[in-house]
Amino acid sequence: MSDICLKFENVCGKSKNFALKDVCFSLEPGFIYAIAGENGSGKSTLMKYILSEKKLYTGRILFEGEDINGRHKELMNAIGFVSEDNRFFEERSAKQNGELLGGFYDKFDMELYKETLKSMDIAESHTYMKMSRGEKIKMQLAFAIAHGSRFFLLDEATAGLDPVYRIEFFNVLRKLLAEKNITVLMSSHNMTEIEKNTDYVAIMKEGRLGGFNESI
Amino acid sequence: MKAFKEDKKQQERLAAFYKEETTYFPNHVLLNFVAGFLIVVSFLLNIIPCLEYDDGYLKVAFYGCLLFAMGIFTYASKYATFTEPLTNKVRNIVELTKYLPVNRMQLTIFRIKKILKPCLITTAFVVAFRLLISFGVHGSATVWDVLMPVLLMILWPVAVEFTRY
Repeated sequence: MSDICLKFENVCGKSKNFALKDVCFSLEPGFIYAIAGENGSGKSTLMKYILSEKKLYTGRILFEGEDINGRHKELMNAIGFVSEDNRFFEERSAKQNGELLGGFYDKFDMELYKETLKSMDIAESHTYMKMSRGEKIKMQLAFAIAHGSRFFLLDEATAGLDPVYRIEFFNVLRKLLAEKNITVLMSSHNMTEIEKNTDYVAIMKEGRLGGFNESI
Repeated sequence: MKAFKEDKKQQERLAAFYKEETTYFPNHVLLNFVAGFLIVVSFLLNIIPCLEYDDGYLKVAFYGCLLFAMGIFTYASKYATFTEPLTNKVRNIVELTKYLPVNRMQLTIFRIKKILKPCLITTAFVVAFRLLISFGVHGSATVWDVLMPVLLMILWPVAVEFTRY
């Protein structure tokens, strides 16, 4: 296995009103990386390129040393995606979502899922649509932990969370980093949050990404 | 051509998912009824052999096949969408599973496998009845009595289903 978790090699992409320009970077395991930038700067597009089954870009994206193109299934087993855009059964409980969707993964640990939910004060019988934004994000994090994610992709996951939820959220991530060899890539437009909670940060502007520098 | 290959593990997981999903969303009864009704009506139109018509055969064949396709697509839709029970919001399974370890092609293969069985069974009965009636009444049949059902009741629905989502 490569000692680089994720690598972008000259990734370019174009959509209607937007272009991602020659993005290059690599991420080592064991750290929280952040991409900061204004809305519309290309952060979510970059994440979409990693998650999409269809190749929407030119260049190469490598996960653990191998090109992600054509490896959607393996990639989704390894990636824990946490975002407002993530899909769950809205009118089902946290437990039912785990039962219904967890079955798609190679290793989904239902017990771990329930334990993580409990440790984050989310009732497993709580319906997804009735959860607050913070609870939904925490449930998604628990789901990602339960399927043994090695790479956590957080798309504006902490936006709008109250400070207590945010602290709790990063505590869980730091604990995971200490216990397992995971990598976290998050996007945010909150610089204070990034400076406080991440290890490296890169700025994205109009589809261009600067290099990752240590967070202050 | 790797993408067109069936992944047994994913197919098993999809089958388990749909089995589990119907325990939470048992609203497929109506879909099955409507699909069954359309298929039965189309069956009655489709068993009329080609030699029974002097003209207007294409019109009857068109309506028969249209009804059959509607029935099949109604039946298949339970594998493509689901309805949230309280808000009645119809949601797409492809959208729901796009960040899960399941390939879109495997979802398509799963749906096609599900429609293939009713398509094959209905077509076999349609062809048998057509030939029986045609030979019974006219003492002969045309090649279209076999080709039409195969083209319009198997190949066409499968092709449409393949490109549908």
